[in-house]
Amino acid sequence: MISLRSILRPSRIVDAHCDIPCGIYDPEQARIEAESCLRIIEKHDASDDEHFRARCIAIKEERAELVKHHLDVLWHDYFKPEHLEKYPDLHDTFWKATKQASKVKQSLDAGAAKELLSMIDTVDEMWKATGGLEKTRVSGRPS
Amino acid sequence: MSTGRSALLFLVLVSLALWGARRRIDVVEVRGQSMAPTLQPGDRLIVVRAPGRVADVVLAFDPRDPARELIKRVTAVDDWGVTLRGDNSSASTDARMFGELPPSSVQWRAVARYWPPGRIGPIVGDWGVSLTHQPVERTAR
Repeated sequence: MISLRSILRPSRIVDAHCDIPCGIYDPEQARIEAESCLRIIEKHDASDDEHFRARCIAIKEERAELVKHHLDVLWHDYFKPEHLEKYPDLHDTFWKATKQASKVKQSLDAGAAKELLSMIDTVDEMWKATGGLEKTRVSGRPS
Repeated sequence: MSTGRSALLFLVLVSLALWGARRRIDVVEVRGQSMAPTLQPGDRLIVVRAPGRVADVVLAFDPRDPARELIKRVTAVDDWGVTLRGDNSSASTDARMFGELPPSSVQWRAVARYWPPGRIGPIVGDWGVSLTHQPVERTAR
Protein backbone atom coordinates (compact mmCIF):
# COMPACT_ATOMS: atom_id res chain seq x y z
CA MET A 1 0.00 0.00 0.00
CA ILE A 2 1.39 3.33 -1.03
CA SER A 3 0.96 5.83 1.77
CA LEU A 4 -0.20 9.39 1.15
CA ARG A 5 2.92 10.53 2.90
CA SER A 6 5.19 8.75 0.47
CA ILE A 7 3.27 10.14 -2.51
CA LEU A 8 3.64 13.68 -1.25
CA ARG A 9 7.30 13.42 -0.38
CA PRO A 10 9.29 15.27 -3.07
CA SER A 11 11.45 12.95 -5.12
CA ARG A 12 14.09 15.61 -5.63
CA ILE A 13 15.06 19.23 -5.22
CA VAL A 14 14.80 21.49 -8.27
CA ASP A 15 16.81 24.66 -8.34
CA ALA A 16 15.41 28.15 -9.04
CA HIS A 17 19.05 28.92 -9.30
CA CYS A 18 21.03 32.15 -9.41
CA ASP A 19 24.81 32.36 -9.54
CA ILE A 20 24.91 35.84 -8.09
CA PRO A 21 21.72 37.33 -6.67
CA CYS A 22 22.94 40.90 -6.25
CA GLY A 23 19.66 42.63 -5.46
CA ILE A 24 21.21 46.08 -5.10
CA TYR A 25 19.02 48.92 -6.39
CA ASP A 26 18.89 52.65 -5.79
CA PRO A 27 17.25 55.47 -7.81
CA GLU A 28 20.25 57.54 -6.76
CA GLN A 29 22.16 55.90 -9.59
CA ALA A 30 19.73 57.41 -12.12
CA ARG A 31 19.70 60.72 -10.26
CA ILE A 32 23.46 61.18 -10.39
CA GLU A 33 23.43 60.71 -14.17
CA ALA A 34 20.49 63.12 -14.47
CA GLU A 35 22.31 65.70 -12.35
CA SER A 36 25.25 65.35 -14.75
CA CYS A 37 22.89 66.14 -17.64
CA LEU A 38 21.66 69.31 -15.94
CA ARG A 39 25.15 70.53 -15.05
CA ILE A 40 26.47 69.75 -18.53
CA ILE A 41 23.65 71.77 -20.11
CA GLU A 42 24.58 74.71 -17.85
CA LYS A 43 28.27 74.38 -18.78
CA HIS A 44 27.34 74.13 -22.44
CA ASP A 45 25.29 77.33 -22.26
CA ALA A 46 28.07 79.20 -20.44
CA SER A 47 30.75 78.34 -22.98
CA ASP A 48 31.75 79.95 -26.27
CA ASP A 49 34.12 77.16 -27.21
CA GLU A 50 32.59 75.29 -30.10
CA HIS A 51 34.57 72.12 -29.40
CA PHE A 52 33.72 72.15 -25.71
CA ARG A 53 30.06 72.60 -26.55
CA ALA A 54 30.19 69.63 -28.93
CA ARG A 55 31.75 67.51 -26.21
CA CYS A 56 29.04 68.63 -23.77
CA ILE A 57 26.35 67.41 -26.14
CA ALA A 58 28.04 64.05 -26.65
CA ILE A 59 28.56 63.46 -22.94
CA LYS A 60 25.05 64.62 -22.04
CA GLU A 61 23.53 62.13 -24.48
CA GLU A 62 25.61 59.36 -23.00
CA ARG A 63 24.53 60.27 -19.45
CA ALA A 64 20.86 60.55 -20.44
CA GLU A 65 21.07 57.05 -21.91
CA LEU A 66 22.43 55.83 -18.56
CA VAL A 67 19.47 57.45 -16.78
CA LYS A 68 17.15 55.41 -18.98
CA HIS A 69 19.12 52.25 -18.29
CA HIS A 70 19.08 52.70 -14.51
CA LEU A 71 15.36 53.54 -14.50
CA ASP A 72 14.66 50.46 -16.64
CA VAL A 73 16.54 48.20 -14.23
CA LEU A 74 14.54 49.55 -11.29
CA TRP A 75 11.34 49.20 -13.23
CA HIS A 76 11.62 45.59 -14.32
CA ASP A 77 13.93 44.17 -11.68
CA TYR A 78 13.25 45.96 -8.39
CA PHE A 79 9.53 46.71 -8.58
CA LYS A 80 7.23 43.71 -8.19
CA PRO A 81 3.50 43.15 -8.78
CA GLU A 82 2.73 43.81 -5.10
CA HIS A 83 4.30 47.27 -5.47
CA LEU A 84 2.02 47.93 -8.42
CA GLU A 85 -0.95 47.26 -6.16
CA LYS A 86 0.32 49.94 -3.80
CA TYR A 87 1.20 52.34 -6.63
CA PRO A 88 -1.23 51.82 -9.53
CA ASP A 89 0.51 54.66 -11.41
CA LEU A 90 3.91 52.93 -11.18
CA HIS A 91 4.08 52.00 -14.87
CA ASP A 92 2.94 55.45 -15.91
CA THR A 93 5.53 57.09 -13.67
CA PHE A 94 8.35 55.06 -15.23
CA TRP A 95 7.07 55.52 -18.74
CA LYS A 96 6.96 59.28 -18.31
CA ALA A 97 10.33 59.44 -16.55
CA THR A 98 12.10 57.43 -19.25
CA LYS A 99 10.40 59.54 -21.92
CA GLN A 100 11.63 62.62 -20.08
CA ALA A 101 15.14 61.16 -20.13
CA SER A 102 14.82 60.84 -23.90
CA LYS A 103 13.80 64.48 -24.05
CA VAL A 104 16.89 65.46 -22.06
CA LYS A 105 18.99 63.36 -24.41
CA GLN A 106 17.58 65.17 -27.43
CA SER A 107 17.53 68.75 -26.18
CA LEU A 108 19.60 71.34 -24.33
CA ASP A 109 16.69 72.41 -22.18
CA ALA A 110 17.77 72.84 -18.55
CA GLY A 111 14.10 72.92 -17.55
CA ALA A 112 13.63 69.44 -19.02
CA ALA A 113 16.59 68.18 -17.00
CA LYS A 114 15.14 69.67 -13.79
CA GLU A 115 11.81 68.04 -14.56
CA LEU A 116 13.63 64.72 -14.99
CA LEU A 117 15.21 65.13 -11.54
CA SER A 118 11.83 65.65 -9.94
CA MET A 119 10.46 62.55 -11.73
CA ILE A 120 13.37 60.47 -10.44
CA ASP A 121 12.57 61.82 -6.96
CA THR A 122 9.04 60.44 -7.35
CA VAL A 123 10.54 57.04 -8.17
CA ASP A 124 12.83 57.44 -5.16
CA GLU A 125 9.81 58.01 -2.90
CA MET A 126 8.20 54.80 -4.17
CA TRP A 127 11.48 52.92 -3.71
CA LYS A 128 11.80 54.16 -0.12
CA ALA A 129 8.13 53.53 0.69
CA THR A 130 8.49 49.91 -0.46
CA GLY A 131 11.46 49.37 1.82
CA GLY A 132 14.11 49.73 -0.88
CA LEU A 133 16.47 51.65 1.36
CA GLU A 134 16.61 48.84 3.91
CA LYS A 135 16.28 45.91 1.53
CA THR A 136 18.34 46.81 -1.51
CA ARG A 137 21.33 48.69 -0.16
CA VAL A 138 24.07 47.28 2.03
CA SER A 139 23.31 48.65 5.53
CA GLY A 140 20.94 51.21 3.99
CA ARG A 141 22.03 54.09 1.80
CA PRO A 142 25.25 55.70 3.03
CA SER A 143 24.53 59.20 4.28
CA MET B 1 -9.27 29.90 -2.81
CA SER B 2 -11.86 28.40 -0.44
CA THR B 3 -11.00 25.48 1.79
CA GLY B 4 -13.53 23.29 -0.02
CA ARG B 5 -12.05 23.99 -3.42
CA SER B 6 -8.53 23.54 -2.10
CA ALA B 7 -9.46 20.18 -0.61
CA LEU B 8 -11.10 19.08 -3.86
CA LEU B 9 -8.13 20.14 -5.94
CA PHE B 10 -5.87 18.40 -3.49
CA LEU B 11 -7.78 15.13 -3.82
CA VAL B 12 -7.79 15.37 -7.60
CA LEU B 13 -4.05 15.92 -7.62
CA VAL B 14 -3.44 13.02 -5.24
CA SER B 15 -5.51 10.74 -7.46
CA LEU B 16 -3.52 11.90 -10.45
CA ALA B 17 -0.32 11.21 -8.57
CA LEU B 18 -1.46 7.66 -7.75
CA TRP B 19 -2.53 7.07 -11.31
CA GLY B 20 0.71 8.29 -12.73
CA ALA B 21 2.82 6.27 -10.32
CA ARG B 22 5.64 8.69 -10.78
CA ARG B 23 6.52 7.70 -14.30
CA ARG B 24 4.62 10.45 -15.93
CA ILE B 25 3.98 12.49 -12.83
CA ASP B 26 6.20 13.36 -9.90
CA VAL B 27 6.58 15.76 -7.01
CA VAL B 28 9.53 18.07 -6.42
CA GLU B 29 10.61 20.74 -3.97
CA VAL B 30 11.82 24.19 -5.04
CA ARG B 31 15.06 25.68 -3.81
CA GLY B 32 16.20 29.22 -4.57
CA GLN B 33 14.64 32.58 -5.40
CA SER B 34 14.98 32.90 -9.16
CA MET B 35 11.34 32.05 -9.82
CA ALA B 36 9.92 34.47 -7.26
CA PRO B 37 7.22 35.61 -6.84
CA THR B 38 5.66 32.68 -8.75
CA LEU B 39 7.59 30.06 -6.78
CA GLN B 40 9.14 30.39 -3.35
CA PRO B 41 11.83 28.22 -1.76
CA GLY B 42 10.17 25.21 -0.10
CA ASP B 43 7.21 25.13 -2.48
CA ARG B 44 6.27 21.59 -3.45
CA LEU B 45 5.07 21.02 -6.97
CA ILE B 46 3.42 18.41 -9.12
CA VAL B 47 5.35 17.95 -12.34
CA VAL B 48 4.28 15.95 -15.38
CA ARG B 49 6.39 14.45 -18.12
CA ALA B 50 5.69 16.73 -21.07
CA PRO B 51 7.65 18.99 -23.40
CA GLY B 52 7.94 22.66 -22.47
CA ARG B 53 5.83 25.20 -24.32
CA VAL B 54 6.20 28.97 -24.15
CA ALA B 55 5.08 30.27 -20.72
CA ASP B 56 5.38 26.84 -19.05
CA VAL B 57 7.43 26.41 -15.90
CA VAL B 58 9.71 23.46 -16.62
CA LEU B 59 12.57 21.39 -15.25
CA ALA B 60 15.87 21.04 -17.10
CA PHE B 61 19.36 20.00 -16.20
CA ASP B 62 21.85 22.82 -15.87
CA PRO B 63 24.05 22.53 -18.98
CA ARG B 64 27.00 23.76 -16.91
CA ASP B 65 26.42 21.28 -14.09
CA PRO B 66 24.20 18.30 -14.98
CA ALA B 67 23.95 17.37 -11.29
CA ARG B 68 21.73 20.40 -10.81
CA GLU B 69 18.16 20.27 -12.03
CA LEU B 70 16.83 23.74 -12.72
CA ILE B 71 13.32 25.08 -12.61
CA LYS B 72 12.69 28.03 -14.96
CA ARG B 73 10.11 29.43 -17.32
CA VAL B 74 10.12 28.88 -21.08
CA THR B 75 10.14 32.30 -22.76
CA ALA B 76 10.77 31.13 -26.31
CA VAL B 77 10.89 27.96 -28.36
CA ASP B 78 12.38 28.19 -31.82
CA ASP B 79 14.87 26.56 -34.18
CA TRP B 80 17.67 27.43 -31.80
CA GLY B 81 16.14 25.55 -28.91
CA VAL B 82 14.30 26.36 -25.73
CA THR B 83 14.99 29.65 -23.93
CA LEU B 84 14.63 29.44 -20.15
CA ARG B 85 14.39 32.48 -17.88
CA GLY B 86 13.73 33.00 -14.18
CA ASP B 87 10.69 35.13 -13.35
CA ASN B 88 12.89 37.01 -10.88
CA SER B 89 15.11 38.33 -13.62
CA SER B 90 17.62 40.15 -11.45
CA ALA B 91 18.28 37.05 -9.35
CA SER B 92 18.35 34.32 -11.93
CA THR B 93 21.04 32.51 -13.86
CA ASP B 94 19.38 31.34 -17.04
CA ALA B 95 19.50 31.49 -20.85
CA ARG B 96 21.26 34.85 -20.63
CA MET B 97 24.18 32.91 -19.18
CA PHE B 98 23.97 29.47 -20.78
CA GLY B 99 21.98 30.07 -23.98
CA GLU B 100 19.20 27.95 -25.42
CA LEU B 101 18.87 24.30 -24.50
CA PRO B 102 17.99 21.47 -26.87
CA PRO B 103 14.24 20.69 -26.64
CA SER B 104 15.08 17.15 -25.49
CA SER B 105 16.55 18.53 -22.27
CA VAL B 106 13.13 19.77 -21.14
CA GLN B 107 11.06 16.75 -20.11
CA TRP B 108 9.09 17.86 -17.09
CA ARG B 109 6.52 20.59 -16.77
CA ALA B 110 5.29 22.01 -13.44
CA VAL B 111 1.50 22.05 -13.28
CA ALA B 112 0.45 22.69 -9.70
CA ARG B 113 1.62 23.46 -6.19
CA TYR B 114 0.35 21.30 -3.31
CA TRP B 115 2.44 22.80 -0.53
CA PRO B 116 2.23 25.14 1.40
CA PRO B 117 -1.52 24.63 1.96
CA GLY B 118 -2.21 28.35 1.70
CA ARG B 119 -0.97 28.47 -1.87
CA ILE B 120 -2.35 25.27 -3.37
CA GLY B 121 -3.21 25.78 -6.98
CA PRO B 122 -2.11 25.68 -10.59
CA ILE B 123 1.24 27.22 -11.52
CA VAL B 124 0.63 30.65 -12.90
CA GLY B 125 2.33 33.91 -12.11
CA ASP B 126 3.45 37.22 -13.48
CA TRP B 127 4.93 35.51 -16.49
CA GLY B 128 3.50 38.20 -18.76
CA VAL B 129 6.41 40.33 -17.65
CA SER B 130 8.96 37.61 -18.28
CA LEU B 131 7.67 36.89 -21.74
CA THR B 132 8.49 40.39 -22.89
CA HIS B 133 12.14 39.41 -22.69
CA GLN B 134 13.59 38.87 -26.10
CA PRO B 135 15.25 35.53 -26.75
CA VAL B 136 18.92 35.72 -25.92
CA GLU B 137 21.22 37.25 -28.48
CA ARG B 138 22.31 34.74 -31.06
CA THR B 139 25.79 33.97 -32.13
CA ALA B 140 26.65 32.07 -35.26
CA ARG B 141 27.32 28.41 -34.80
